[in-house]
Amino acid sequence: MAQRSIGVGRDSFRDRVAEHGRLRALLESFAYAPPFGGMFGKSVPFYAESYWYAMGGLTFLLFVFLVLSGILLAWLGPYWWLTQPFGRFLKSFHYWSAQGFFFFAILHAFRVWATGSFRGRRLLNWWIGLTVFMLAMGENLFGLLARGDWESQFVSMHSTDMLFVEPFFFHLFAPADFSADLLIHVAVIPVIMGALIFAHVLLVRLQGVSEPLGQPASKNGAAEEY
Amino acid sequence: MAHGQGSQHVIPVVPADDHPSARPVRHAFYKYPLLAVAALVVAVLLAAFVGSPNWPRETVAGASTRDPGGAILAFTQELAGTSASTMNESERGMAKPADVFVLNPLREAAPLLGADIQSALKTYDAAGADQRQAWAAAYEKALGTITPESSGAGDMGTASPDYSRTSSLTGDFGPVPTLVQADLKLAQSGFLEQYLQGVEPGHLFHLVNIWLYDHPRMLNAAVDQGLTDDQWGMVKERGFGVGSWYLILPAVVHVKLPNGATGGGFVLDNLLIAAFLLFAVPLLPGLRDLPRRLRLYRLIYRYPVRGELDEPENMPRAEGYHGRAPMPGAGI
Ligand code: HEM
Repeated sequence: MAQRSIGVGRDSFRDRVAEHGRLRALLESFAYAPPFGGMFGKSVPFYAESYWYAMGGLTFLLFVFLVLSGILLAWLGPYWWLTQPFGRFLKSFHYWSAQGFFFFAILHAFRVWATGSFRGRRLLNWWIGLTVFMLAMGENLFGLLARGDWESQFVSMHSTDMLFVEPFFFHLFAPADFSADLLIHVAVIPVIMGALIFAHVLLVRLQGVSEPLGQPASKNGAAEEY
Repeated sequence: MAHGQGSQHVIPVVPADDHPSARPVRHAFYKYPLLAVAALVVAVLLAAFVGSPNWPRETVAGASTRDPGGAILAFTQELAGTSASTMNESERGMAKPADVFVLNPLREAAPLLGADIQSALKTYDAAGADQRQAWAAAYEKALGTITPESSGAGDMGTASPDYSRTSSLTGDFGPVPTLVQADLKLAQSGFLEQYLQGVEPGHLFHLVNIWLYDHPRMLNAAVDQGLTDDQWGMVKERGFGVGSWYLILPAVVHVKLPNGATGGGFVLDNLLIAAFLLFAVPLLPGLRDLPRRLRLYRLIYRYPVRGELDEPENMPRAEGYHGRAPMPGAGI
């Protein structure tokens, strides 16, 4: 195997053009230039250079889509998103972003599980990730209740009968109450989710990507195979 | 060419011990803007051409015009204390449905409704609680005699009384028929909906939704459209093919697990599943070893194709990858 090594300080635009061409160097510059440049670690182990490891990032991207479209929707209001063409488009964009969010989150959780990345102190991030996922399912319910169409009406009453007549904290909500649903969907759950996702990604940044699983027969650990 | 696999394209080689190369390489950040744009384009196209579920909301006027018999039944049940809203009154934080949906709106509109209605209200108010209850119960029973056996909505739906035959009913109903017929007029004209929104400003649709669920029409539509529990309603949308498929786990809990259909059972079963995922999957001996045994990670790790590790892009980087150098032993 080649033993030439590219070290720190070989990350200038010119270095990167020489390494893999102008187009790629340009596309990746967001990870090297201000304001985000400092936030990204530049090296990853070769085995993690697969699309499976991009699923968490895509989940995050879809969360950003959801937040941005959600702010606009909340700002302009239900009559707008249910009746006006652009409002309906934005509502649909929000809907499909949610579909994508769950799609990528499930792929991400599968890759984390299948690579045993819950081991050791990454257990904490396993817990945070799953908590985000469960909150997202709750967020989905309140989004449905806050939508304001027939499905909202039906589900609000149906879920009241089933869930929200329970004692303890369920008594606090009235799912038929559109205003409360919208408030919970817009200002409560997503704020908690955002904070937890921030912690989740920060932990990944601090802990790095988990080391690979392999069969115990192996004598030379992968880490030595530079 | 140096920039790609080119003609060297071969299937990656997985070594016998499955260990992939952990050489620190430059992360392929250039893929991210492309992935982001692709995700954006797909979401925009789906939004523009497929849209999203948007079945028009039901209104009090709509439900009581299309199915006046159902509205008569709902008002009567509210007076008799047998409506869905009465059963869940305290949970919903509302006053007595008989007052909220029938008597208060009629009192509010009484000056415009004429002498008959005003005297019917007086008669009702003057009667004792038992008498009122007896009138309403008798009328509800009589409505049952003009209700068709099947609503065509399957077993779960509730059939509505045949409105055209309500005037033929006789019995000791007191002023109840007059009151519910007057309330029907208020509902059909849109007055009732505006009234219900007005008494709870800031909670626009709360009382409206509760009333619409007293009316048989909404649940019947849900049954017809396959949206009830036993039809996997939780993962479906009315009039739209793609629903919340990712809620399949809670949906299975709701439909299949013991007590899953009750609120308490549903919460408990879901918590058990959550505890399984949170604790058993990563910690329980045997279960936690499953990923290593199944070796599915071989589909996930990138294994180099021949010659790939010699390309300039994959030269080892001296600083190691993030998290490793400053924190040795991060994970096993
Ligand atoms: C739902 C929103 C989520 C977001 C935005 C998110 C984001 C991320 C990102 C960006 C990474 C970096 C590595 C990668 O992308 O593969 C990551 C790693 C990780 N995630 Fe998530 N994640 C989410 C949900 C989850 C869930 C549901 C779980 C557990 C079932 C989970 C457990 C983990 C663990 C344990 C790591 C560390 C993996 C390693 O070190 O190899 N995450 N997450």
